[in-house]
Amino acid sequence: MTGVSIAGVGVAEPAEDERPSHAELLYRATRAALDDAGIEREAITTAVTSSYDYVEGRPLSNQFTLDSIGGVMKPCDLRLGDDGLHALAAGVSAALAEPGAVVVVASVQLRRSEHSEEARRVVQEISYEPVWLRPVIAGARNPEALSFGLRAQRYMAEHGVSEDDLASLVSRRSGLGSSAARSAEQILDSAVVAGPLRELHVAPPTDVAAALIVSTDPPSGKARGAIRGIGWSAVEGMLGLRDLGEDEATAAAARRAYEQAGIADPADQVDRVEAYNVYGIDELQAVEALGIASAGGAIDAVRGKGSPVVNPTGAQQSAGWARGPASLAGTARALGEMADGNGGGTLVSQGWTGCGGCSSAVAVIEVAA
Amino acid sequence: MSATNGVRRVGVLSVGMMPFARALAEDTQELVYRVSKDALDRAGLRRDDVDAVVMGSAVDPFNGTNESDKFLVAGAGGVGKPYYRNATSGSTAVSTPSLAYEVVASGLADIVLCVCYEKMSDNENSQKVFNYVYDPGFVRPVGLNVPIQCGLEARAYLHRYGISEEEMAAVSVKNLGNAVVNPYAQRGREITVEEVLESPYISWPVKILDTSPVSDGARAAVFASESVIRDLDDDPVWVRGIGRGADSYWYMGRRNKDLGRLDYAYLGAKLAYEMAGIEKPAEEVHYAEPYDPFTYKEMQHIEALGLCEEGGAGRFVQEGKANRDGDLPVNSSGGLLGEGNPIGAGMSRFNWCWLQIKGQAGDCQVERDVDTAACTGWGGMYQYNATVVLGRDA
Repeated sequence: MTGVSIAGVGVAEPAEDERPSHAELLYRATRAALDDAGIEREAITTAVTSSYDYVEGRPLSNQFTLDSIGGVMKPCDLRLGDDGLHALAAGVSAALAEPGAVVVVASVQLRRSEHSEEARRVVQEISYEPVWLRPVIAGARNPEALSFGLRAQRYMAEHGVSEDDLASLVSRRSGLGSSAARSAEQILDSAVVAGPLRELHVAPPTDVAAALIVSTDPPSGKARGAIRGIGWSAVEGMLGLRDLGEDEATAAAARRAYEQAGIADPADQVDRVEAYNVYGIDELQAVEALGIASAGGAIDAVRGKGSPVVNPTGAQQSAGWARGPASLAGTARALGEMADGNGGGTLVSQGWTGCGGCSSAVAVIEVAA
Repeated sequence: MSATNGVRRVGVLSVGMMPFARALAEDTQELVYRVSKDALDRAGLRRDDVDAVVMGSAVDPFNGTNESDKFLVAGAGGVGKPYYRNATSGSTAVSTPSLAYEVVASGLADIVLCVCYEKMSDNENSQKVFNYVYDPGFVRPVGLNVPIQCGLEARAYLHRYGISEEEMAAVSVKNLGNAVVNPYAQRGREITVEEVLESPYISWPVKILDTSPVSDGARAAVFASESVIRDLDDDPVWVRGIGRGADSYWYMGRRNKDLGRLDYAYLGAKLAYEMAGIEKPAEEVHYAEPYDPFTYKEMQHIEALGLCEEGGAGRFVQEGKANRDGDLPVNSSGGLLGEGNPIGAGMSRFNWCWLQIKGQAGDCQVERDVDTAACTGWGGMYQYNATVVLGRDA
């Protein structure tokens, strides 16, 4: 056990007919988290945020968050250029380093930050190492999908997973959302962006802000859940220097998180998994890296309805993909869904960042009933 | 690694250094490797001994690659280990060590390698990058960038306290002169107050010789838990205090309406001193490396650290108290002004505090005994501060 609890969570999404700013949306998420924790912003001690400068189109893209999260004239400046769950790991460190501190972990992303398909393409292109990798992928329609396409090729060839299998998985996940549903046929009929990945394998972008409040001593005495373990890990960013057939970053992060949580058999001891599935293949590889299925066994494991249940609400394939806050939002939603009359349980949440998902974070959370 | 609820004492085992220069031939991963290896060698460790890596660099657009750090982590031996990267612009230099401290203090790791880097000379238009930090609706269109805003700040500071440009110049004379004997320095040079005053203005009252140079470089440090450090070092240097302060992004919304006084820096110092149990910093701090990208900025940070009275830093420097042989030496390394300013690698301020306490500062070693030292970082868009206090056992 880490000894850190989640005191409150907040997720904010804009209504269909409004265009709130980053600052406004993050304010709403933080306000919701404060309400959930039963505290006011004066109680906030420190904060860690996650944001990506190029995606935002501005350097030091977390600066406005101070005002949104009640962090003015406080040590609320830390910002990771990593996924939201990495920020949660830093938040847990901060909470443990100062027992009793009230730490906000937050991130926000708006799809309009990427302005256009071309802007999104360029941002993804410059996410590749400039000398060896970038020239190879120059001009690609969806540069990030290329690295996951390579992962999919390697994994599917090694384990005999078919394109139908992957399309069916993505279709099932997308069908759990109201607006993003795609049939397997539609997916397989869509244009190839990075074989075997097609246009409709890719989770649609969305707008979301998420805030989690963590502390060793939740101010109101109540907690959404206890963080039993937190692990994060990076592998080589250069695609040619790693085994794309497996998700080594998630495996290393999970080992650490499970060790802290005292989990020896995750398939037996975990009730729910929230794994990134921006491309579908990332979910399959993450499920194996998390120890929920053996190598090559993920496609069967995620079909089942037993325990642990994987991405029961569809994750990014249904909720949409917002780089940074997606894992925090998924964690917050899962906490609510597991608690509300469902008896709580053990949640494992995972998120990736970096070229081809070269860096990953995993949290093991005991969700209060 | 093991998690615990107890806050552990954290020490610094070693630092990693390399010369700063403009347009270094090595790529950034090589810079990261050089300082990481230097820090590990000095500590007598191998990279396999490191539990986790924390890196810092100012902002991605300086490097021209989104998540540039993901291609550098191997240089720090971080592959397969817990790793993340902090980026708070200039204050990255000291906020990243504070993050590394937290990873060890939390019990989530025993040995953490902290690496900060920047290769500024790869950037063709850093001021354009800085302009894009400002909010797009109100301030960015005005054309604000670092020199312009520093001019505004310096003007406010000089006006508030009745400070002269000669006092600013004295800081540059001290720091460039100090850098002459610093083997890692880019701009060691004996200059006079007159030379500084005659150098061209870049944004009144800030002149070229009030300003730090464009630099490439990296710095590293090894943080360790008490149980580890006791086995490896019989005279440990501890992280005694960390503190950070941050004001609003919005100019119109800042608590600190007067740009001449850095309220958020006073807050960072207050928090660090409270943690360190320091009540009279002018007496209890023996050495300081305040962040000095500009001369007036060293003065503001000396005051925020409580090393002299408010508005008194100019006299403090002119009277020689901040000299290498002074009562309370400041930036004996030459600071950013003399050593160079690869933004994130301004972590050198932290490293020099450690070197001074350990008596390993070479020709930069100050005359007085140093048991306690303080450093600051400054960043965001002029509203972030980070302060660290290092010290040995009493």
